[in-house]
Formats: sequence, C-alpha cells, structure tokens
Amino acid sequence: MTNLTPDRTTQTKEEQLERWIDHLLREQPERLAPDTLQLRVLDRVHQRAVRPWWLCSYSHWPFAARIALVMTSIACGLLGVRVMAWITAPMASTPLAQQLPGFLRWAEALYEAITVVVNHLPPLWMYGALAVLAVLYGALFGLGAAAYRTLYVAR
Amino acid sequence: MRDHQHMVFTTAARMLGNDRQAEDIAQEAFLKAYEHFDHLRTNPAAGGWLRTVTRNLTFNYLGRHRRRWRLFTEMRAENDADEPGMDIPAPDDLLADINTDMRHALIEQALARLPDHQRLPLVLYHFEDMSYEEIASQLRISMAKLKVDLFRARAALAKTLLHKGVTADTELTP
Repeated sequence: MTNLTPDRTTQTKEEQLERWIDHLLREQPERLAPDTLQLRVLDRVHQRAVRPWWLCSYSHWPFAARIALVMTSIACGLLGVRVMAWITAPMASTPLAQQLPGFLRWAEALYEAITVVVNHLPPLWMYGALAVLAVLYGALFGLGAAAYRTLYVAR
Repeated sequence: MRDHQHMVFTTAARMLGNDRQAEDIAQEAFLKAYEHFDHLRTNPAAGGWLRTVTRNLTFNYLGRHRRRWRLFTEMRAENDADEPGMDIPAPDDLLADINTDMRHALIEQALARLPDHQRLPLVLYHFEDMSYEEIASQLRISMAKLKVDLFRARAALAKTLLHKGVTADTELTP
C-alpha cells in the first residue's frame, strides 16, 4: 500500500484516491458463495424437470402444442371478426334466428338489442364513449402504477 | 457450477450490497446457464457469459425493486455544495496495521454500506472494468453525475475504512 503513489507531487489528491481505491478493490478476493446456493439451484432444476409442459414457457412446449395454439388463436381471431361483422351488419341480411338453436333464443334478443342501439347511436356518442373508456383505462393503469410504486417498491 | 459460483455470487453481492438478494440472482443466473447447458459445457467463455448474465439480471432486479435511484441521485444534486471540500484521508494511513483477511472483510463491509448510487458505479468501474461511458449509459445518468458519484463513493469508502481501521477490533466478526 505504500508504493502506490510514486509521483505523488504531480498527482491531484483525487487521482491519488482513485488509484489507491482501484488497487485496494482489485486486490479483493472473490467472496465465497453460501453453501445453500448449490442446493437451491439443484432443487429448482429438479422442479423444472418434473414440471408438466403446459406450465413451462411457450418456447418449451412440444411442437404440436405450439402449432395447435397458433391455429386456435387464428380461429379465435377469425371468429371475432365474424362476430363483429354479424353485429354491425343490417338485421335483414343476417337470418340469425334461423341459425340459432332453441336454447339460445336469448342471444337473438341480445343481438337485436345491440343492433338497434348500434344503428341508432350518433357516431359522436360512439367516439365519446370510446374516449371515456380510454381515459378510464389510463386512469386505472396510472393508479395501479402509483400504488405499486408506493406500496410495493418503496418497501 | 462449482467453478463459477463464487464469481457469480460475488458479482451480484457487490452490485447489490445484499447477500440474500445476491443469492437469488446467482440462482437465476445458474438456471439460465442450465437452459444453455449444451452450449456452455464445452465453451471456454462460459465464465464471461455467466458474469454478463449475472450483471444483467442484477440490473433488471435493481430496475424492478429499487426505488428510482437515478432520480434519487439527481435530487441529491442540491447537496453537492458541501462535497468538493470533503477531506480525503491519506491512503497510506489506512488499514496499515490490519491483517489481510481482516482488511478484505472490512472493505467488503464498507462497500456494502455505500448507498446504491455510489456503490454501483464504483463496482462497475473497479470490478467489472466498465468504462465511464458504458456505466453512464447503463445507469442512464449524465457523465458529470457519474464522476461526482464515483468521487463521493471513493471518498466515502476511504473514510469508512479509516474509521473501521481504528475500530476494527471491536466491530469485526470474523
């Protein structure tokens, strides 16, 4: 430690401190990991090994399962588009009542109600409602973030 | 794992200043290594890979769990006025009479007690060999702020070591 500053007169005190701290820290040996670390890692590896595939992340799923999920997602998307088309199409062009079985008659009534409302609402109201929904979602998100930072991160 | 566990734990522990959290990070790093076991088993750069993963996991952890310490350091700028004149102890006076093991323990303790915004740049610069530019970019702080934090960290470390050196017999738990 005494040979660190051969040209001390030409160095500022700050540089001298930096060199000394650098020397001191680089002399530090590695710390010993706790004995529990290996056991913890092996335990987690074992847990992962016996975990069923559907609890793993998507990249670890079997190929067939991944394909099935993609196909199902596409089908759901297409179904969603179809439903939207039904809702927004004029009543006369969609003989929905003929397509539904008897126990789903309530859906027909719901469909009719939604169609009537959608077709008679002024566009301005629709845009206003969407804007209100967006504001409410933003407020909820902001409140959640504030609560997280205040109650959880601050701990 | 046996070859690298001390390095991984040490990297995380020095960055975090907390052994329990460091053990969690080390565990995550080894689980990631396990996922790439086939690639890493024969790779001579496995140690470097593990070190980088550990560092990134620690950064992620700090980002998630520490309370905006970057903002905190910026807020502390108003207290800068009293710092430039701070008294820096003369290196030769420090720890001269303490044996090596005890000195190592004292330094680790002093390092862990530094606040995050001082310890992290210090560790990244002196242990992880990152440049000023890399550290400032990683921590998203200005270069000027980084230099101030580093200077304060070194000065605080030196002061703590001086104090510890004086009282080492009573405070150390070997």
